[in-house]
Amino acid sequence: MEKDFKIYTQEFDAFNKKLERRNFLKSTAGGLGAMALGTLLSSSISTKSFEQQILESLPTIAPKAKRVVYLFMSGGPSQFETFDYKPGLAKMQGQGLPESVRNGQRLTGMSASQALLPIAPSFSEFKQYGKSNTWVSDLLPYTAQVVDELCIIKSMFTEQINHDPALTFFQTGHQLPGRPSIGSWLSYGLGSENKNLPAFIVLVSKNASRDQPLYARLWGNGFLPSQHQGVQFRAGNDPVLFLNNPEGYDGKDRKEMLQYLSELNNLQNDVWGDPEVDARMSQYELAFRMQTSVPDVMDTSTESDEIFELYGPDSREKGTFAANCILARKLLEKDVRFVQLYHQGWDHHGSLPQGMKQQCKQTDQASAALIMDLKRRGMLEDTLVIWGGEFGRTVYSQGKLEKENYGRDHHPRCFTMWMAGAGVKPGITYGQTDDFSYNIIKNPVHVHDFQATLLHIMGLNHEQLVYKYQGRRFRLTDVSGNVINDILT
Amino acid sequence: MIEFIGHLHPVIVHLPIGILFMGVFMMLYEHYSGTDLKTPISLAFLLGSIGAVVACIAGWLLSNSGEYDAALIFKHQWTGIATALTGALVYFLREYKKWGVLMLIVLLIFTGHFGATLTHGENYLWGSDKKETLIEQDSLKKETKKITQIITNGKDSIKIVKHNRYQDDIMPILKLRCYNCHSALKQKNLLRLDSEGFIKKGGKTGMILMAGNILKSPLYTNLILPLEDEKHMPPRGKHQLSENEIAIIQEWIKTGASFEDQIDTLSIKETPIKLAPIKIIVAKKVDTAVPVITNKITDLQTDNTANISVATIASFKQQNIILSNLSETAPFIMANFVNVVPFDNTVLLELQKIEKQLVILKLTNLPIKDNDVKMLIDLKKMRRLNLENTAITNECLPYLKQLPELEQLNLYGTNISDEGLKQLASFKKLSVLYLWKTKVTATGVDQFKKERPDVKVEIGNFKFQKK
Repeated sequence: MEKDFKIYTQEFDAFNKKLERRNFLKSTAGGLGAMALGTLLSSSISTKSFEQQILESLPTIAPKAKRVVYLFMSGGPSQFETFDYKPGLAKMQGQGLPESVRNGQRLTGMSASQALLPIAPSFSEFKQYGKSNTWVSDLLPYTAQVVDELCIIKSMFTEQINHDPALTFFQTGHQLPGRPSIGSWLSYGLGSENKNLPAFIVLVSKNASRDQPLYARLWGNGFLPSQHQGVQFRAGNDPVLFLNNPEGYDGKDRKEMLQYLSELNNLQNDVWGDPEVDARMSQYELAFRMQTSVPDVMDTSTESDEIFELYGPDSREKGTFAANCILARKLLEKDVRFVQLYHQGWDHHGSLPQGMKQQCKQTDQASAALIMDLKRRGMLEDTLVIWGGEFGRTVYSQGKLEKENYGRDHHPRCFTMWMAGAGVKPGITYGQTDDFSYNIIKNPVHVHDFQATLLHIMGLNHEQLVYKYQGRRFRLTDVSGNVINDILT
Repeated sequence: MIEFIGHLHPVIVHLPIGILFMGVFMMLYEHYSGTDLKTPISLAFLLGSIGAVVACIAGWLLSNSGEYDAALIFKHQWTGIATALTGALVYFLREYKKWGVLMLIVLLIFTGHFGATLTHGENYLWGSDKKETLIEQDSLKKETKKITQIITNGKDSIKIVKHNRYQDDIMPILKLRCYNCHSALKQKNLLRLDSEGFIKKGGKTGMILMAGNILKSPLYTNLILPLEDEKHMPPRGKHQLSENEIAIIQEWIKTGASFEDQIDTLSIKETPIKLAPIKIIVAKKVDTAVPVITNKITDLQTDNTANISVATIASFKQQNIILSNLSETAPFIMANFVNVVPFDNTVLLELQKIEKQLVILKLTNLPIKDNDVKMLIDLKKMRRLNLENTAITNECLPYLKQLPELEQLNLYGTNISDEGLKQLASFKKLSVLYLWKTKVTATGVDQFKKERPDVKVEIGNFKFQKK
C-alpha cells in the first residue's frame, strides 16, 4: 500500500527510507501498541533530516544554565521609576525636551502632535544599595535588597514602538507573528529534561490590570513541530485546559484507549509520514503523564509559611504574580527547561505614579524572593532569571505634567532589564543611557543580542540553531545578534 | 551581456578551426584530383578568418574575467590573433598560399592546444582518467604518513609520532578534484587551493575555511549542497568527490583544520599516552524526536578515545537517566535522575559505566539512604553532587570523602548536623556547600567557617528587611 505513495527521486529518498523503516518496525516489533509508540519510533528512526543533522553538529558550547525563568513585564515598564536614575531631570521639570536629544526621532501617534514634550522627572526617590552601590528606586524595596545578585542592563533597545509587534519581536525575533517563541526554540534545541512535564511552561498573572492583551501565539511553536509549543498553566481547578478527565469518567481505560489511538495514528503516519502525527502522538503521551504530574506540581499547600512570607502576602492567593513565582520555582525544581511568567499592566500613558506603585507592589517582592529562594536551594547556579518588558518609556510626559501625576509614552530606544543567576555576572550594571535616558551612549544591547546571549548561556549557538521552513532556514535571531560576552561569567 | 559573449568563446572557436581545416583539405583535394575548387576554397578562408576574429574578440572578453593563468592566456591570445591574421592573408595573397596554409596549420594546432590547456589543465592530453582513479584510491587507502622521532637520553626514550593531515589527507583530494579550476593554472572565482596561504585567503566571495566550524566553511558546505545548486562544487558534470573524501574534509575542518604537524602518539618506554583531545558523546535531545544516540559514536571509537558505548547510552536512556554534555573539549558528563521514578538503588551501580566521564550527579528528591551513597565511591571524577531532599545523614559522609575531586555538595533538606560539618571540613577540594534546612546550627557553621574560610556556605538564612 505504501508503495503507491512513493516517488522515486532524490528529494524523496529520505522519506522513502523512513517509510521502509516504519514497515520494518511494524513487521518486527510485533505488539507495538504495548509500548509508548511515539517514544519508540522517535528514538529508533535514524533517517536523519537536515534539521537533525544540524542539531547533531551543533558545537556544544559548555552550557552555563540548564533552566530559565523569564519574568515578562508586559506593557513596557518605565526605566525612570525603576533602575535608570536620572537626578539631573529634577531641575528641568516641565521644560521641553531639547531637540538635540530627540534629533527628529519618531514618536508614537499618541504624543507626536503634542505642542510641548515636557520633561517629567521620576516621582520616586532613588538610593544606593548593596556592595555594588547600585541605584534603585524606592518603588522596588525588595529588589533593592538582592541587587548584588543582579546583572542590570540599562542599554536595551528594540526596533518596535508598539506593544504587540514589540512583544512578538522579543519572544520570536521577528515583529510579525508566526515564528517560534524563545522557549520553543530551546525545547527544539535541547529537548525536555523532565519527561512528565512540557519543556516550556507559561504562567500569566491574574492580578494584573489587563491594559494590553496577550496572545497564546507569544508562546507558540511557529513552524517548529507542535510538541515544542509553550503550555499555559492556569490558576484554579483546571490548570491545564482539557487535561483532566471529563466528569463521570474514571479514566481506568484511558491508557488502553491511548494505545489503540496510537496504533491508528501510526497507521496514518505510515501512509502520510506527516510529522504532525508524530507531534500529536507525543503530545497525547505527555498529556497522559501530566494527568499525574501536574496536580502534584501545582499543589502549593505543602509550602511552609516561611515561603509565603518570603514571596509576600499576595502569594497565598492563586494566580497572582507572587503565587506564580512559587509555582515557577516548583517547576524549575522539576527541571522544566523554560518557565515564562507574564505580568501585564505596565503601560502607563497616564497616572503613571499611581500605576507604577501598584505594579511594583505586585511584582517586586516575589521577583526578589524567587532569586533568593533559588539561591538557597543551590539552583541559582544553573538557573537563569530574567526580568524585563518589551520597551521603555519616554522622558517627557504624555499629556499634562503634574508633580505627582503624569504619563509616559512608549520608548524603544533605551530601557532596562535585568538577569540573575547562571552564566551572568552578579552585581554589575551594563550599558549607559544619556542624561535624558533617551539615547544609548554606551554598550547598546539589541533584542537579538539579548536572545543570542540567552541561547549561548543555555549552550546553543544562535547562528546554528536553525529550522528549515518554506525554503529558508530560520533562526531565533533572524540574521543578526551578538553574544554580549561582557556580562557572561 | 559581455560576460555571456565571453562564455561563448569555447563554442565559437570550433567554427573557424573546422572551416579553416576544410579549406586546407579542399586545397589538397584540388591538388590531387585536379578538380577546380578555387571559389569554395576562397570562401572557406574568408569565413574561417572572420570566424577567427569573432573568436578572438569573445576570447578577449573571457580572459578579462581574470580566472585564468596570465602567462598561458598571453600565449593563447597571440597565437589566436596570429591565426586569424594568417587566415586573412591566405585569403588575400594567392601567390604564397601554400606557405601561408602551412603556417596556418601550425598556428591552429598551437592555439588549440593552449586553449585546451586553459580549460582542461596541463596533464589532460597525455594523462588518462584511469590512472587518476588509481592514484586516488592509492592516496586514500594508504596509511597516513607518520613522522617518527625518537629522543633518548640513554636511559629512557621518548618516541613521538607525528603526521600532517593537510599534506597527507587533504592536499591529495584538493589536487585531484579542485586544482583544475582553483590553482596556478586557473583561478575560478579568484580562488586558489594549492597552498595553505591561498586556502586561508579565500576567493572573491570571502573566506572559505573556518577552523572548527564546518557550517561556516564553504570549502565543506559547497560540497554537500544539492548538485543542482549553482554553488555546488565541483560543478555538475565534473567528477564529484566521494563520500569518503567529503568525510575526510569534514573531519579535518571540524578538528581544527590544522596545516601543522600534529603529534599523534607519544610513548615513553612503550607506554603509550594519548595526546589527542578526547571527545564525548552528546546527549542533547532527550525526550524529543531526535535520537539521543548520534552517529558520532562509531566515528569516535575509531579514534580510540575514551567513549561511552552505544549500549551504555541506550541502557541509561531506558532507565530514564538523562546524560548531558557539559563541555566541548573535555569528557564531562552530567547525569540527572529526575525521571527515575520509582527509584531502585541498584540503578546507581550503572553509573560505574561512566565513572571516567561523570562530573555532576543530580540525585535530588530521591529516597537515597546512607548505604546507597556507598555505591558512589568509585565515581572518582565527581565534582558536583546534588543530594538535596534525600534521606541521608552524617553516616554517608565517610563515603563521600572518598571522592577526591568533589567541589560542590548540595545537602539542603537532609539530616546533616554539626557533627557532619566537622567531617566536611576535611574535604580537601570542597568550595561550595548548601546546608539550608539541615540540623546544623549557627555555632556549628561558625566553627566550620573558621576552619574552612575558603568554602562558601549557604545556610539559607536570608530574610527581607520589612519596608
